[in-house]
Parts: sequence; structure tokens; C-alpha cells
Amino acid sequence: FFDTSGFAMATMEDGEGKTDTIKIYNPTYLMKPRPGTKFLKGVVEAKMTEVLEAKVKELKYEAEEMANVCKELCTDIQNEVKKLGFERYKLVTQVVITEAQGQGQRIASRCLWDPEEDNHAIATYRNSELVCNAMVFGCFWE
Amino acid sequence: MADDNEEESDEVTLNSDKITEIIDESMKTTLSSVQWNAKKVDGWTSNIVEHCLKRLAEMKKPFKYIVTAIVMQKTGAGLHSAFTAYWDNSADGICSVPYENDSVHCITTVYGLKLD
Repeated sequence: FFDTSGFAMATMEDGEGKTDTIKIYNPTYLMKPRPGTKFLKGVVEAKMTEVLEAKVKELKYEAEEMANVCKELCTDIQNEVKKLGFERYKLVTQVVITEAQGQGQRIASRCLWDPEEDNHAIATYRNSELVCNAMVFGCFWE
Repeated sequence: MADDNEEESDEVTLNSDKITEIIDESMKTTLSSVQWNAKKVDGWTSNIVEHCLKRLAEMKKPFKYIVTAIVMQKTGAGLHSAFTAYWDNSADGICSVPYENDSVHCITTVYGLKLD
């Protein structure tokens, strides 16, 4: 997370006399994200819908498989959002898959954060057998 | 001689027992002995998350919190939830608690992100 433009090198010795070089990063003291790197809800939502559609379109609900699909979707979405280049943002991705049996369901979330820098993005995709909800929360880390 | 009041050290971590307790209590107060009602469920979910968040804020720890609640009608349908995070494993954490009564399932998750 630290800005790599400023770091110092230090050496440390372990018991056998070998030395390891460790990099100590200097903190950047940034209070706000650099311009152009703020978490953009619209961009993230578009990307998430794309990933969901690609993966979930033809999927059938199978109880054993779904656990893995859920985890894979999480990792895929997270990787895609990381590629969008929001520096210094901690990301939390949550994916919920439900079998579509006509039952009622409600998902709600609240956050205690800094509303100027932090944001969230949600995407839903449904086909005839299942409903998939994905949420990405991005929190700026000073 | 003036005495300096030392502030607490930076080693503040999330107390997951306390948070589980908070989540449990908030789900029980809202959902115990209710029957699924599509009109009321909005109120229930808002209640649960707001109650949790309020109690978390009262702990006055240097954390950002994200609270998510999923309330689902029991019809035998399956539900899967997964999460991944790009964060600092030593400082940030998650606490997830399931709850059910005879007509609803509920899962509440709290993510805590440490502030420096």
C-alpha cells in the first residue's frame, strides 16, 4: 500500500550470519486519494456486471458446485476491480447466490466510513435458476 | 511535575467475541418470533444493520465498519455467500453470524478495517 517512490534499505542479520535486505517504505501522509484514483462507483459497477454476466449466464443451480462458483466469482470480481487501478484502496467483495424459488429476500448494508473517499458498488444478475448479488466496498487507506 | 496521560498504544484489534455478541443481540431483538412478511422485511434489515453499526460506533475504536445483512424467506431454497478482501490481514477482520427462526434465515456480516 505504501508509495514505492520513497524507501530506505536496511540490513538485518539472522543467527547464521547471513544478511537479508529489507525494504522499509516511507509513509506518504496522503489524506485523500490522488486525483484520478478515486473509487468510481459507475466504472466498478459496469465491470462487475460484465464479470457476472460472463460467468453466471448459463449456470444452473447445483448445491455442491455453488460454493465454489461463489468463491471464484468473488476472486474474479476482486481481480478485475484491482486492475481498474484504485491506488491505496482496501477492497472487500461479497457475493451472494440464491436459488430462484420464488422466495422473498432482502439484503441491506450500512457503513461507518468517510463518505468523501469511500464508496461501494453493487451488481445483480439473475437467470431462470438463480439470482446472484455482488457487492464491492472500497475504503481509502491513508 | 505534570503527568502526561499516555494514549493507548497502536495495538488495537477487533474483539471478535464482543462483535459476535452485538450481532447476535441485534438479530434476536429484531427477528425472534417473526413470520416472513414482505412488507416488513425492509424495516427488519435496516433495523439490524443500524443497530449493529450504532453499537460498533459506541465502542469508539479506530476502525471503519461495513455491516451487511441478508434476510431470506425459508422455502428450502439454497443460499451461498462468499467474500474476498484486499486488505491487511494483521489489522482487518470479519465477523459473520447466521441466525434462523421457523420462517426466516438471516446472515449478518461485519467487516472492520483498521484506520491508521
